[in-house]
Amino acid sequence: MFIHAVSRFVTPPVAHPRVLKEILKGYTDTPFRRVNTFILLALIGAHRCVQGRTPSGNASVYLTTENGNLGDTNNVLDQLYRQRSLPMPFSFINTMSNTAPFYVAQSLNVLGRNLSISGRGLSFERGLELARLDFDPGPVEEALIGAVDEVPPGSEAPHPAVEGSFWIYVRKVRNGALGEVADVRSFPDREALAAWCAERPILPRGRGMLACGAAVPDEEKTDWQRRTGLALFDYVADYGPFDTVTAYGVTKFLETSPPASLLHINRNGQGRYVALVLHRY
Amino acid sequence: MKGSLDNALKTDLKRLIIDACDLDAEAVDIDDDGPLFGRGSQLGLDSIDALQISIAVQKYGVKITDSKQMRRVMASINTFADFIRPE
Repeated sequence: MFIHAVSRFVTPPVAHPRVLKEILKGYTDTPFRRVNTFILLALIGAHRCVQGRTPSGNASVYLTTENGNLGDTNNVLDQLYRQRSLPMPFSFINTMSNTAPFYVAQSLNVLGRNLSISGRGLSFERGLELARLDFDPGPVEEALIGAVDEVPPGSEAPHPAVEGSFWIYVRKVRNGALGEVADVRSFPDREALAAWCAERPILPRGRGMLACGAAVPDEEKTDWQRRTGLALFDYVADYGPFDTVTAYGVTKFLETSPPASLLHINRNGQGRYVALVLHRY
Repeated sequence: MKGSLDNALKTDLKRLIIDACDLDAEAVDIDDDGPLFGRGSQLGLDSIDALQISIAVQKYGVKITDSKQMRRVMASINTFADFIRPE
């Protein structure tokens, strides 16, 4: 699965979706109505990613998210249970889980698979895993894979200070690619991942880097660094942990790193691990 | 005073429609007598917009109960204003 384009969009929570709408106008002339913050974040990231390119009509969209449309879900629940009124129809429609990737696909005129994926702390990894499954033997030849999350409404520190939208445009063909998703592996626990790491050098020393997700404690990071012998690519410190921070880190590596390879290790609250191997050409 | 004679109320209703329906428009762009819904209407609103407005308008203490009433009330800004304030 070869990476042909990357985008990163990270912002402190905006006061009104209008702000995001203005930003989106910089990437597409398509007018959007009835969209909320979550959908606008998805649209900005996806359009930014494919700027200057035309995805083929059968391209797929995989949108990964930890929490989905939190803002409108909160609004609808508030209208139903606190105000004891009918929910506003636009808000209600936008709480449907697949609304955001629908808008992405409609605005890019792509008709392939269209999925929202959430995976308990490993959502972006699960999206990559699923896309690889669809690519390897399957019919998908081109896809946009994104990670989008908004800051929970009314949240205060220590909750995330930023929200974002991070996308990669992947194709089956290598020609013109800037990188590659070489491997996505799931492990039931730390020992299984450690055994995999011990089998053989995963990445060459010198050109390989190690990154760890926000859920990996510092002492464990040090242990993985010792086991793999790789230099640390630390991205979590940039903004602190937030829901799409893994996708932020991966896209940052792809956008800013000189040619190199990345082993990304992450875990969820149940102690399951996923390792990603990416190459930046 | 009938709602259709109250410019301040009509401006408020236009702003309510713009906000509720997420429109890129200004209150001055909306004609008091022009149709709001359907082909050739000034704003191109549809049935989902109508639902959205019918909920938003409850802040005026009124309820639009069925689609026939909705069509009649929302024919234009003037009819909408007269519905909010009949006399």
